Order: sequence, then C-alpha cells, then structure tokens
Amino acid sequence: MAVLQAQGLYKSYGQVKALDDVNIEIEDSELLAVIGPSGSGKTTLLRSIAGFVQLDSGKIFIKSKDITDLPPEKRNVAMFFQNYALWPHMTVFENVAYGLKIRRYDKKAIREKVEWALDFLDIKSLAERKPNQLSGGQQQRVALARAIVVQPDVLLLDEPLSNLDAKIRMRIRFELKALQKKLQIATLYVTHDQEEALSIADRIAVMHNGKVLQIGTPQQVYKEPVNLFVADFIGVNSIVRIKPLDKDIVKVGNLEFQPQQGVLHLVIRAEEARVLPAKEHVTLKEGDLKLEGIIMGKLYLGSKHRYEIKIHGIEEILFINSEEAFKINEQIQIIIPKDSFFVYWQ
Amino acid sequence: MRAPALILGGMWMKKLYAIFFTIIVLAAIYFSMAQIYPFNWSIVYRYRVVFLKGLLTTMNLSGFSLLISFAIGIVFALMRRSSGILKEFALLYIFFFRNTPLLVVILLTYYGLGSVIPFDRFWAAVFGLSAFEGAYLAEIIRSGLDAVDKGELEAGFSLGLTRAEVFLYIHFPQALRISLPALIGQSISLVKDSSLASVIALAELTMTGRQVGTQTLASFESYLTIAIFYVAVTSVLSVFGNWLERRLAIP
Repeated sequence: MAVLQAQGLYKSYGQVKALDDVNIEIEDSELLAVIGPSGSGKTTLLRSIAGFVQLDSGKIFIKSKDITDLPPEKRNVAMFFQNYALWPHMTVFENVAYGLKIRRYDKKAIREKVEWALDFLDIKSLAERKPNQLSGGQQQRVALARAIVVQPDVLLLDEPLSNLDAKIRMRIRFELKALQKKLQIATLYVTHDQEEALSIADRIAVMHNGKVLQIGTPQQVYKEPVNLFVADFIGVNSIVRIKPLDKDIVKVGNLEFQPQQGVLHLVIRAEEARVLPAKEHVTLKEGDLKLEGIIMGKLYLGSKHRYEIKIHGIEEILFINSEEAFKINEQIQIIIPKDSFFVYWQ
Repeated sequence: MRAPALILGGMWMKKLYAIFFTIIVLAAIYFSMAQIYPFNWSIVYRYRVVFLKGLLTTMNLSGFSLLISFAIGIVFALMRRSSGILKEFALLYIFFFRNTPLLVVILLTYYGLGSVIPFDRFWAAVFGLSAFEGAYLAEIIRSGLDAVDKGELEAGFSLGLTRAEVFLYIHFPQALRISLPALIGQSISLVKDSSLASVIALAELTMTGRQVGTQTLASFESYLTIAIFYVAVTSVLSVFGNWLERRLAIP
C-alpha cells in the first residue's frame, strides 16, 4: 500500500514546465530519491507535496486521503530543509519540541518524545544549546530530529547532505539510510548527486524538464537506463557521437548497428571499461564491445589514471579510467562489457 | 579569566580619560563665554517646577506616541506585506507621512482634524506624532520581517503550526531582533521630534524652554536646560535599547 501517491502533477511558471505529468508513489518505509539537474523540477515536486506550491492540476494522496488542497500545516508531512532552517531564537530542545507543543501534547509526553528523538540522533547533550552554537553536522541532526519527532506520514528531505563537506557526507549517507530504515517512514529524498542517490535509495526517479523519465531501483536505473539522458546522468560516463556514413550499417569497433534516425550516441560507463595493450589477446563475450585506439593524454588520479583515448575511425575523444599505466601514443584496446555501454539514436 | 577583566579595565580607563578631557574642554568654553554672557542659573532653579512639568508632558507625549506608533507600525508593516487593497492603502499611508514634514502633520491634526473632532492639544500632538512615526516604524518592521529566512517559516508550517502561530512564535520575534537597533534609533527620534508639538502651544519641554527664556531673558540657560533634559530621556532609551539588544541576542 503506497503511503504517498502523486498523480498527474502539472505546474508551470510562465513558459517553464516545472512539473509535467509527474506520477510517483512511495511505499511504506521506502526511500525514493528524486534526482535531476538543477531546474529539472525535483524541488518543485517536493515543495508541492509539502504544500508550498499551488499545483496547476493533479492530485496528491497520503494514506489514500486526498491532501491536494490542504494547507501545509494540515498534511502531516515533515520537511527537512537544505539550510536546516532551525529557529535561532530557540534552544535545540525548543526547536524539536515545538511541533509537539502545537499538537497539544502534555509536558511530560513532549519531554519524553523530544528526548527520544535527541537520543535517536545522538545529540542529547546539545539540548540546551542554541542552533548558532552548533556545527553544521550537529545542526543537521537537530533539523532531522525536529522533522521526525512529530511522526510524519511522509518525510521530505531537500538536499540534506549538500551543506556538509565531502568526508562527513560519505559517513552520514550510511547513517541516514540506517536511520530511515529504523524509523520506517516513507521518505522522498531530493538530490542532484546521482552517486548519493544510488547508494541511499530504494528506488530512484530521474527527472528532467519537469518530467519523470525513469523510476526504478538503483540497479535498474544504472544498468537499464531508458534513454540517453538517464544513461548520461547516472554514473561516470564518456559519450561519443557517430554520424552514420553509409545507409546500410554503422560499425563501431567490433559491433555493427542498424542505422536509425539521427546520430548514434554511444554512452560508456567509464569505470567499467578495461584498457589493455593492443597486442594482448582477449576473448570477448557475446555482445561485448572492443574498441582500438591510441592514448592521447593522461591524468594521474591517485589510485588510477584517466586517459584521453582516440579511437580509430571515431572523431571524438573518449575518457576512460584505468588502474593500468600506459604511455602516451601507446596503442591500446578497450573492452567494454555488454551491460556497461548503451547505444541511443537521436 | 583575568585577562578580559584587565582589558575591560583598560577600556574603562580610556573612557574615563575621554570624559575627563571632554569636561575640561566644555568647562573652558563655558567659562570663556561667561566672560561675555552673565549666566544666571538661579532662574532655572526658580522655574524648576515649570521645567519638570514640561519634561513630564514631553515624556507623556513620547510615551503615548511610542505605544500608538508601534501599533501602527506593526499593523501597516503587515498590510504592506499582504496583497491587494490593504497593501495599496499601506503604501499610500507610508508615502504620505514620509513625504510630509512633521510640523505640517501636527498642524493638520490640531487645526485641521481638530476642527472636525474636538481634540485637546495633547491628544492632537499624540495622534500627529504617532501617525508620522508609525509610517517610519512600519518600514523598519517590514524590512525586519522580510529579513527572516523563509525556510524557517516553512519549517513551521510543515510541522503543523498555523499562520498565526508561525507569525507569533517564529516570524515576529526574529524580525524584532533584526530591527531592534533601527527601532531604538527611531524611538529616540520620536522623543526629539516631540519638540515640534510646541507649534500648537502644547506646554512640553521645548515650549517651556522658550517661554522661560523669553520671559526671563535667560535664553541660554533655559535652552541648555531643556537640551540636557532631552539628552537624559534619550539616554535612558538608548541604554534600555542596548540592554534589550544584549538580552535578546542570539548566541
């Protein structure tokens, strides 16, 4: 049973379509990540569920109840803000307690619940501090405590990790995922970071220009992208465009493709391609792609190198990461497993 | 913990030096003027009751005006932030009173409005001053309300607070903190502006000073006296303001 259902959401700002027939569902205790570049409509989607955006059309249901026309305060969704939006004039305790106070819980119940939330997020010792006396990571926990203490039906997270530095972000990802599973709250998680989404989400919705292009598990979205945009947006890729010369067949490395309308776009997952010396013998599996080329340049990245590779017969330069060391101008071959490259015509 | 105390001591010493130096300079100016102008401070003493009455009237006038103009300021700041007819009305109100001299406003309330509704001088001055200062306070409060992070308000809504609760517990308290320095400044202006009520012959401090000065010919003494009274009143306000600012400061 889906906790949240959004059906046929439309919203435009002048000529710009922020939401264009968006349909999503979130199951009980599921974490759905919405990803997309800036301007794709993901924040508009989140804000429309919170009630801060007046939809042009469409319906939103929470636990089968139509909440489309309810004001934000009547929706029982809790939103977590990118900049935390803590109330600086209240202590941590007061920040977390406020949602409960409004719900007219008695003093004892409030204290118990707030202490539970602070304990849950491991910030009990900060209860009497003011938000400006906390570090970014601590503020984030307070904001999270404030959101979960009211036991919302749906938790909305707007770029929750974007204000933290890279190292803390990695750690918090795990914590956040564990937390969400422990709480079992249906969660909508908006981010522009595809890696974050892949690692944390149960399902991912990829948005572009107000449309949801694909919804699926991280594996589905990564392994079976429905179009060029999704393939390119997820993962670290290198793309080459090949214009068919003759009408019969397009040859790319060892594979041949039937020409279709437009230009052939070859998307290669740069992490999964293997670069080998040209002379080395490899047995290819059915459907694997083999390209031959020459190293044009390289960047040292620590554990690996990033190579600029010119493929014979293709204009554009490929960028592939590899642990092997090659010299510039060395002849090489690239082996790309069947499910690590995608071909689109457009 | 000794170092800060020492620094504080140093600061106080500097302040004391500055005050001492200022007193010396002022005394020098005073005594050189006394060579030409025969100061007669006994007149001030003789008219002390009149002066104190004037001071009391000024304080009453300022006090009532402060209360009413804050109310006007809050209401019009909210109207200014709303939409439709209320916003237009607030804009017009603020436009009118910010572009009219206070002297004219007071004349208008006493001689103009006063000929329709019977006002005594005091209340005419209170209403003129409140209407005028209210327009300034409205703009100050509005900018404070605008300065509060919108996300904090939305966080309130999403936690179930109603519009009124968000305003009362999150929006207004923070806006007040943000605009406090400007509000204190405007309050001090109000006290000084109240001197213009002398134009409708209200016996407040300035009027008293002028009367005593012209009757006794001791103008210098009486104007200096009321100047010191104004400084005293506004100092109390600014000390109170500083205290409030420190008390409400968010660490």
